[in-house]
Amino acid sequence: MADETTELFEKAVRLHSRRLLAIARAVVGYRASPEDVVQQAVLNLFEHRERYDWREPGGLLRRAVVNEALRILRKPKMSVVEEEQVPGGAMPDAAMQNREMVTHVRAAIDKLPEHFRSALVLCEYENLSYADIAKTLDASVPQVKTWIFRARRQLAEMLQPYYQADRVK
Amino acid sequence: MYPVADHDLELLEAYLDDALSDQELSALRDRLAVEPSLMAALRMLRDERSSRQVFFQSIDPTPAEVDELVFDIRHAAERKRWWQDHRRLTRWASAVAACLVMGVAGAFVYHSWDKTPLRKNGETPLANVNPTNTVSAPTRYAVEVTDDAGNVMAVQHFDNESEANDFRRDLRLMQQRHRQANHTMTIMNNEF
Repeated sequence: MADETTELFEKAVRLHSRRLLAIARAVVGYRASPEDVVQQAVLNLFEHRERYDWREPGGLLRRAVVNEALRILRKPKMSVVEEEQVPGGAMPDAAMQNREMVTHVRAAIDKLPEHFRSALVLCEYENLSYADIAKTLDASVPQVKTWIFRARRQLAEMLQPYYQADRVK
Repeated sequence: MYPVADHDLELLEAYLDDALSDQELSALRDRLAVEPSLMAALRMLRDERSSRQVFFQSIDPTPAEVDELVFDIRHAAERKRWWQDHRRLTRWASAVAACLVMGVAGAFVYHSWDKTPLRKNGETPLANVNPTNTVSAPTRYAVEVTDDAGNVMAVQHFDNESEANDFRRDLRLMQQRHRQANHTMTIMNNEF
């Protein structure tokens, strides 16, 4: 029984790590190591692995990672993780433009309140329904709708100059 | 900024999130067909969304990063499992060790209490000094005066140990002199 659980756990980790790491990256940004967030969240689940149903662990893992990320963000002091530098050299125009866009969007997303950011990531990266987002964030569906709507509006305001310049091009 | 009101924006976002019911969807499509401002707003929202998608694609980890993470998690989980397995054994060992320590400590305390001061120096063939304890009174000492056969002839009580020992010593000296005197007289009798 215990071996079966461990086996299912390992399978779940292999299957979901990529998306969990992306969620952690989007939620914690540069304020903590996303790898540490995922590892800690997953190990917390592993410690009490017998309690959970590992046959469909996607929601469980996602919830654990988001909660761990929010917990880390609520800590008073945090070390800033250095942004990885892409090796220099000539970049194609499209790639350069994309990189510029990513930098702007990332900076704007980092400025959002934690819950807005988490809800937006789960909605637009994970493509979860409002109900699933509400379950993951332990909130009501109307609350989640509001968070996502406000997050989008705040992002639009922050990125307005960039969008205008882009539209002019 | 947008050519439509907030509630229409919300409706359009829900449409892009695929969160509208069939009825709502049908109504919105009808409006989009006749309201150019609503269509313009939808295009703007789509543009914003695509720029966010570029960001979300950028945070997608590479296979090497995922492999490294899975490797780290597996090792950490193995360590945790090893520790969980051995924690039970450690608990048992700690309990046994605690029992042993308590047993040794208990035996030590028991033997310490058992040794009263006068027991070791109070035994003589002719005079024994024994403490007599009562709950309310302080400790008293008794010296037994015995004959040669060991029968108790009298008991003298003292308030402290030194007085009892002094009495016992004096009594012993007196008895020794008495014995020597009897022995001398016997020799003299043999000569005459």
